[in-house]
Amino acid sequence: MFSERGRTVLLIGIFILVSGFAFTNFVLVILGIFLIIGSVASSPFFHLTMPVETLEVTREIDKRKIFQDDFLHVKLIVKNTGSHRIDSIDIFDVYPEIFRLVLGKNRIRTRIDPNQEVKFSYILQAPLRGKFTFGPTKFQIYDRLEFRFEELSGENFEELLIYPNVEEVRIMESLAKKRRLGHMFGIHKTRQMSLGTDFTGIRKYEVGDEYRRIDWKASARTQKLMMRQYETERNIRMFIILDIGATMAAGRPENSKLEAAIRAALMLAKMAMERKDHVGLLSWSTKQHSFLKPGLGDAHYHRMLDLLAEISPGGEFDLTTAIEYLAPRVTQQSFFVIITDLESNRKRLEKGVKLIRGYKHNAIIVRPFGPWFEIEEIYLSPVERAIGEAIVHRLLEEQSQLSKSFQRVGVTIVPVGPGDFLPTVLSEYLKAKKRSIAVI
Amino acid sequence: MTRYILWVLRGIAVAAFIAFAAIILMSLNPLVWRATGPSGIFTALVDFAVGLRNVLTLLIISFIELAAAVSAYITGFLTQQDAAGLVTFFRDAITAYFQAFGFSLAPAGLPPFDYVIIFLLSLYFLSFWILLIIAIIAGVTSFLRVSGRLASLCFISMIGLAILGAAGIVLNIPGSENGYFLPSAEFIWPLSWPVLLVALVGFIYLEASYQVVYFYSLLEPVTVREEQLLRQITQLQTDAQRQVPVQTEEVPVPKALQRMLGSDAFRLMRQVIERKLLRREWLVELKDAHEVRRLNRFVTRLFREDPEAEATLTARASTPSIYRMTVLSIGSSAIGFIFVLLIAYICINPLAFLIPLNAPPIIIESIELLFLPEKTLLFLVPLALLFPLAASIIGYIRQRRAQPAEPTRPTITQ
Repeated sequence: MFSERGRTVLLIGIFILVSGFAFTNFVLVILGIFLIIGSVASSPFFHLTMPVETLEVTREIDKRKIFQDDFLHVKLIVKNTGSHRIDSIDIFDVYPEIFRLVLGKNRIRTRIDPNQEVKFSYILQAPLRGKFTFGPTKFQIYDRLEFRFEELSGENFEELLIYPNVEEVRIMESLAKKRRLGHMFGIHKTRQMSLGTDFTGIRKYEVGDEYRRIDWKASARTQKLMMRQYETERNIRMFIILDIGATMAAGRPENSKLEAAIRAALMLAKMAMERKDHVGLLSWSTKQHSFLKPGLGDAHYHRMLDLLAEISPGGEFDLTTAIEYLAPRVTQQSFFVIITDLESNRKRLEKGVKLIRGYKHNAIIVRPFGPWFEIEEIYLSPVERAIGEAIVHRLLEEQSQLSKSFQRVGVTIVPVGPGDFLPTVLSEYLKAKKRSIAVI
Repeated sequence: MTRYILWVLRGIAVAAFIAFAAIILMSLNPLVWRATGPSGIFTALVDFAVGLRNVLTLLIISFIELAAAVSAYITGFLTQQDAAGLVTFFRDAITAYFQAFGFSLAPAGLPPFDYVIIFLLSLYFLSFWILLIIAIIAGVTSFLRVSGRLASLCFISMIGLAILGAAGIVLNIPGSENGYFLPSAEFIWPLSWPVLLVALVGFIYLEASYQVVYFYSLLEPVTVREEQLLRQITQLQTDAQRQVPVQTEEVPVPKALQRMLGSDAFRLMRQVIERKLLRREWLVELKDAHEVRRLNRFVTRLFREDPEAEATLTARASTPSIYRMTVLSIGSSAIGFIFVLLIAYICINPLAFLIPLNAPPIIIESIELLFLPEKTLLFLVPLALLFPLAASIIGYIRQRRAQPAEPTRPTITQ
């Protein structure tokens, strides 16, 4: 098809030709004919040399799975396998919009001789987790004077999986090793007295105690029957239920409720697995779901990483159907950490919570509180602030009502913001460990 | 090397521009500039302003006369004499208004339509100056910026001068008018024929300008990209070495607060404020520095592991061969010229081809009876349409041959 320049030259040619006729000027007539013929004459040759089938494109990505904020080197190789040269070709490699171009460029204007190839590359940074598709590579082929151009598109697509950012997990691990996290991140054991092999102390005999644990020396010394007391560490079975409904996408893309929830879930799972607790995962919405039965170990952690990386928000969260789905799959008593913004159907939430208790599970609801994510670092006018405060007030009121309803069945709601999400989730997990909830 | 060739090409385009401009300007009657030298533009401007004023005045008076007549007719209160009196009153008032500013109305006695003619003439002469200025500015800018669009604008302006000149019969290119009476059977155009030369120079100018743009669009971005990337990498390495200093900047705290609090309490307060205010900025800087170091590590590892990474990042690997490009472009241009000349000749002088081909006498006779416009259009339109038609047929056949490939979306397997 004609490019803008080709159309311009053709129109100028027609205008000059008509002027030449009108004003009886032979120069204008000849020049008009030159321009008209010059703008159309190369059309057949251009189409004849168009590399419809002879353009081979290969995209080389150095890794198919990377972590959020990692860098990625993408190399593009375009080969002209035909026998005609391509005078001018604009190659544009499409990458997901959310990626940041750090070095190099994803487009180039060049020319390719027969059986020659061009190579260029660029470096991207992946700012968000998720599954992304690279491609296609688009070509705009021009003739030498840019009178005509054609657009072609390669069918080369590549998928890339970006894992959630584990920077926080790494930081936490290194800090925990240095014992610098105080009461919150220290190692806490789930103690079950009188079992295990770790000696903890001596106490008085109570009816029903095993005779073999009587400490005879202490009994002789005190003239009373004294028992040796041991403790053991018991592991718990935890299940993370993640709301992946559309409302969880609110907030800045890199720090939405869902992203924060995923990071929290990942850190929670890592921490629990290190303590030999079994962790399962269910991400749920009416549109999609993924399930990972409780387990531990590096392979399990990586499976969880895969699942969390592929999550995309959509649909609506329905706790009742989620629990109904889980019921046959998780038959043993478990500790459910439900991460939801509670912005779905209230009745279904209440019914879901009752079901959880009905199946003898324990649960806690961690609520990423919408307004704290959505208005973070955003300047608000006084009117907007007033509206925001009204919304916050209403949401808090609803939460208070829900809390009362849930507390009757022993489930608490913990509202969290972007700043205290991780510490709160970990703190609740450690409390559950202390209370020996859902021990294996 | 690349830059030198680009400058040589620019030189050729400049030479073509100067030649084309010189031919057009020299062919124009000097009268069109209204005066010799640069003062001509002021003369043209003044003439235009006076003409505009006269026409506007005429329009205002005509409007008042019309309004007075219409109102007299509608209301019936005014007689024809009253209406004439009203018109005279307004005309006097407007005259007095202009005279107050040192202007006088156009000399009386001229028929109203002459004012318009004089105005249009002044506009006509002013247009030469405007087009010349646009052509010079667009021409110079197109060479500096290497822009095809500006080159087109320059060409249009130059052609505009020629068309204006031809319209006013002030363009004098030998043979440009009697070309209509070129003998049909004359097979060879003399290359020295001024008409052909002027048209060729114009066409060469446009071709050369677009050729420069073509070379520039392929070669310059690669050079710029390479320089830019090397600069970025150097900067990256320098930044990666930089240490973010621990924040020690002091935040000013009022003296009154110091007096009110004790020294220990004041120190504590200062620390709290400093931490609150400065920590965020410091953390951002720390994070940036961390990112830069990570990127530097990534690039260093990439260059170590992939020997051609630097060449692909700078796109040095994609630079076309300048020698090959030059040779092929000159060859293509030459073939293009010959082809265009040939087609143009067929359009203008079809008998030169039809007679040697032994075309039927009835066709030859009917063509002999035609004047240039009909004859040219009769051959030009089908020939000009033939190329896009052929292109469409070729494109259609090639599209049909190409198998619709299923898009392959490889999934992640490991």
